[in-house]
Amino acid sequence: MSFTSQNFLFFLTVIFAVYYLVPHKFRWALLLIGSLFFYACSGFILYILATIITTYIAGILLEKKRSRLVVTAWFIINAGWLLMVKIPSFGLLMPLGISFYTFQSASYILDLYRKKTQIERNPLKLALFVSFFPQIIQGPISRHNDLAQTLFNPQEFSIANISYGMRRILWGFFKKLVIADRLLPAIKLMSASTETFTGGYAALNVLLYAVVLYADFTGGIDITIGIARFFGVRVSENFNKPFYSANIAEYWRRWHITMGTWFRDYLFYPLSVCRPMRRFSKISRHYLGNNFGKRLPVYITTIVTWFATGLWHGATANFIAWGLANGLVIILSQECEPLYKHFHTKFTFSNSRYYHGFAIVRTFLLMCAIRSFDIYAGVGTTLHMLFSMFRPWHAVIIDIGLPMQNWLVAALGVMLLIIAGHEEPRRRFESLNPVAKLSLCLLFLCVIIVFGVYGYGYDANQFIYNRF
Amino acid sequence: MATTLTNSSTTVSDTGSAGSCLTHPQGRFGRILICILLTVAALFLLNKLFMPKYMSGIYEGALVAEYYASEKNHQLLIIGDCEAYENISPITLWEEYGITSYIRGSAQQLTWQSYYLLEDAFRYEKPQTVIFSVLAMKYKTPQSEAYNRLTLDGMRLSSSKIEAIKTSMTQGESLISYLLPLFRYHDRWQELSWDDVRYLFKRRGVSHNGFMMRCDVKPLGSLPTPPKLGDYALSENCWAYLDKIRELCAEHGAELILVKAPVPYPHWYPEWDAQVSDYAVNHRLLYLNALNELDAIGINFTYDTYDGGLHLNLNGAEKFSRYLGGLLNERGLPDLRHDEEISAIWAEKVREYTAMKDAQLAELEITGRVATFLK
Repeated sequence: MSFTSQNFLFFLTVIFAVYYLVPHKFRWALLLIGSLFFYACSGFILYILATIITTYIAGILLEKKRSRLVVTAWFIINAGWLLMVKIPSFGLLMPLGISFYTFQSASYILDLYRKKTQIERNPLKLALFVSFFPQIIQGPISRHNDLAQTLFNPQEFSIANISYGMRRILWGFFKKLVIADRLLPAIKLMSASTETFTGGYAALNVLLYAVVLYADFTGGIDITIGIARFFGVRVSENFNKPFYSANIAEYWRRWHITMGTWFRDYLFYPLSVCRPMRRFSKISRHYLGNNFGKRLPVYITTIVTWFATGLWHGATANFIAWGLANGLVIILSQECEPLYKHFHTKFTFSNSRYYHGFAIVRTFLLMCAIRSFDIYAGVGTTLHMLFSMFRPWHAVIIDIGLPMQNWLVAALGVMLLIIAGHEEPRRRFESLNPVAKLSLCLLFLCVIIVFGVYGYGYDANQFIYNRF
Repeated sequence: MATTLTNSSTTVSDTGSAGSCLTHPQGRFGRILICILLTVAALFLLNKLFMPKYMSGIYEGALVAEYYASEKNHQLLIIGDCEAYENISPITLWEEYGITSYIRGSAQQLTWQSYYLLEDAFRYEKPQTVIFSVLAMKYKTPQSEAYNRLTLDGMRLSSSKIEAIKTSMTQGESLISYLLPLFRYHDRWQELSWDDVRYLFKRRGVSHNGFMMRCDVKPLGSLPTPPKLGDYALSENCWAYLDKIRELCAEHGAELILVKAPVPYPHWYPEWDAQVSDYAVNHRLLYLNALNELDAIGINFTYDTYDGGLHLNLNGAEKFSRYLGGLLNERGLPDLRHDEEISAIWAEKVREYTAMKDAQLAELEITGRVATFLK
């Protein structure tokens, strides 16, 4: 059941209609039933049940004794299974949202081990934490401490919550149906015919993919947050204007935030301070000097973390290359830090807002280039397409399957995204009275109904992150 | 106290200010209600605007809806696909035999769709006779969304329409997109024309009591050899719906007549003919396979078809209607031409029919083809 399907909208309406009629203390149980039903409709419920059971048992064991063995056993079972379904050569069908619920469960186990969260003794409540339906298919990856606060203690019926949820859902549908799904056919066409769409078309393709991925993923998260809010549940934000980042490290602090912080907290930091790495740091400082010798262990940890991030997206050469490319660029940026400092000291214009704008554009283009590994099949093809952008472009106009009207609608949609990303329009919207807000939302609903890409004759596109 | 999301990729701030709409509940709720009503009205208008009007190009899409604008006192109702609406002229039936009739036909109308259209029609009138064009019996399953739309979109909302939709949907179709066609036609914003505004609320007629007139001629050429079929049995589904049509007619006291139109293509296999014939005998129905009566009807495929034998032109349709009218007259359908009120209504129909016929013939004479053939 995709968020954009009629079945899901019907399912959501029923759950919502019943939710506030159920006594307070049983509301979480209704959400659990709904979540399991939602998941069962997508198949593979046994896998998520296995994760819930192993997580519950591991939690109980960890409460009795803070055992590294238990954590290791949990990881061998769950992360091992995740890895197996990610490796295409095993030929296993990938259960929906397995990357997200496995990581969410892992954070619970690790937080329990570190005594950063409370044990969930009720297995059904734990099942809800793992399977909460709005966020199971594409995140965000919530922490137990954060999610449990509102998941098991829902608020009273609140018009503010419903209003906020509705607005986030509408905004998410706009991004997904009006922008992302409109441009997706052009990307599919250009990505499939790599012999034809080289040079300028390859450049256009990676730029369009940036827009589509942003609209698709952030749209899905908006819908997730909006739906959760219908039930008074607050889930974490996952984006913070990532395309306004001035460097790649900043970008990754603003894009897919919950995944980034997961890798930071549960892989990068522990790896950086683990005993072997501390020992290695001593050796490297001894042989390579205090400067580079100190940085080398950090770089190794960075590469390992980005390798794992690539693997999380998919156990294919493309995703591994994508992860490593991110890691390498971050390391290169850090190595160039003294040069940057010198540059900024010598040239004062580099502190101006124009230079900041340049840095934003540079980061955006760099990320577009790295993201090519997600667009094309095979590392060789990706590199071929990337290099083709730097060779002379053929001035031949080829139909990429989008009529002019669609370009116009997509362009207007992107403009609206940009405008809406600024504080002033948001402040003005918030200062409107509730009736005016409602009128605008209803008008927006009409815009989505008319200009959305959905219905008969269109491929119902899953959210891109559903495949992870 | 409201909180504000500072780290959001979206425009939506979590101010919770909607809660203030409860400050003056009565006034606010009144205005909110007006907003919602205005939105519903806007969606209604958009629905109307985006629905295809079928006032040019595929005129057949307008046929089903056109029925509701007609008077509802027909002696004869004809249901079926193009073999019904292109081969029988209700105006000829009136002029020659004083029989009032209407064709509830539509392109590739399937047997179950015919049943639900008939059920729908019985809500409005009580015809004495129903003719069912049997060619659609050859379709076992729904064929395509495009043809479904031509039949189902024009039906007024009723339980018959909902059942017709449910039984007709092909893969990827949904009930909601029929009940709220905006969900299906929303992408027509790219092709909206002046016709969509002009015919927003009221469309012009495209037929003559369901008959689509064509005066041009394209003689019958060589037809493809009928391919051998693996199984000649007409489907259980179609028989079940033919049973339902028969029972519905019996319930309303109408005689059911089965008709195969006098056109040679698409092929009507002897095996199919035998099955329908047996059914008619078993249920004491009249079955007219007009292909066996070509001489009696007087059809000459050099002059009486406009598309090489798929459909009759006006000349052919009038000949077949004369033959059919005689048959219906013998079976007791009374001549109503003495009724002044009915005659006045039909005189107007005849006038429009004659005007279109003259217009088409004039156009044919000048250009050699019929480009505009509507009222």
